Amino acid sequence: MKKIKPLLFLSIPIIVLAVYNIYSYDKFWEISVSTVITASIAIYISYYFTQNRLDQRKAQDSLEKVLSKLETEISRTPIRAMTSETEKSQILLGIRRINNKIFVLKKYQELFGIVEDVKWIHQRFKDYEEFVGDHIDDMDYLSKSQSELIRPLERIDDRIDTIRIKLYT
Amino acid sequence: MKFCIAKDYTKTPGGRFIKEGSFSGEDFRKKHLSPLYLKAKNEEEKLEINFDGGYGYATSFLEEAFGGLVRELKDPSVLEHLSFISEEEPGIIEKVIEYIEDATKEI
Repeated sequence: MKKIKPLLFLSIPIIVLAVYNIYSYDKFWEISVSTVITASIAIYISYYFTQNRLDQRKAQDSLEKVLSKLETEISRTPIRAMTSETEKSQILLGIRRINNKIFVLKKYQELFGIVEDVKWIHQRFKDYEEFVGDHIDDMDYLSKSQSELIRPLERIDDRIDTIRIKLYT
Repeated sequence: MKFCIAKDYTKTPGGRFIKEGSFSGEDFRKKHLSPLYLKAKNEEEKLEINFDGGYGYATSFLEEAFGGLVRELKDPSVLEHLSFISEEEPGIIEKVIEYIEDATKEI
């Protein structure tokens, strides 16, 4: 109701003005073809650009959500709180979640002009993944390498911030 | 011919070599992938590998299993006789194909 009130407030004088003109001005409906064409083109162009920008904004917001989810996955990766008792399944699931987010970024990287950033993230995560994969059955070794493993994740996190800024500038 | 890794082998695959622990890529290749692949090839069928249902895969497991298959058999036509399903982690298929192609270049 709050949104409708100002709309009514604006539309009532316009309708009154239109009705007044129809009755007081004889040639109200007589309009040249060129005026119709000009008005139609103006309406079409303004609609096209508004809609286009709206679609672009929606796509940017969706990508922003993917970036936020990727950040969340990186921050809660089991590697951060790893002990020799950590389950292999937890590590594998964590890697899968991050990989899936990177996969989405790769799919739309060209659309948003972030090819180099995604390539960089992909490569850093690939190195991380290979290191973890090579020692997946040695939780003791992985827990001792925790600080080494967190470093590439922190760098990926920083790069996500760069992408986010790029999206809106 | 179909093989679901999570259902028919393990939900928690390990690393690269048998000496590193259980359910390694080498173990999977020797016990399942290699014999099934050869059977499928002889019968002029495709072997469908399903990656869904488990917790995920270490890259070393995938490379040793699929890249290792090419190296073991010295067969450049591996990709022609395999097909993959991975809805839970679509990027896996791309990786496996890359491992097979890289290993094919080396033989």
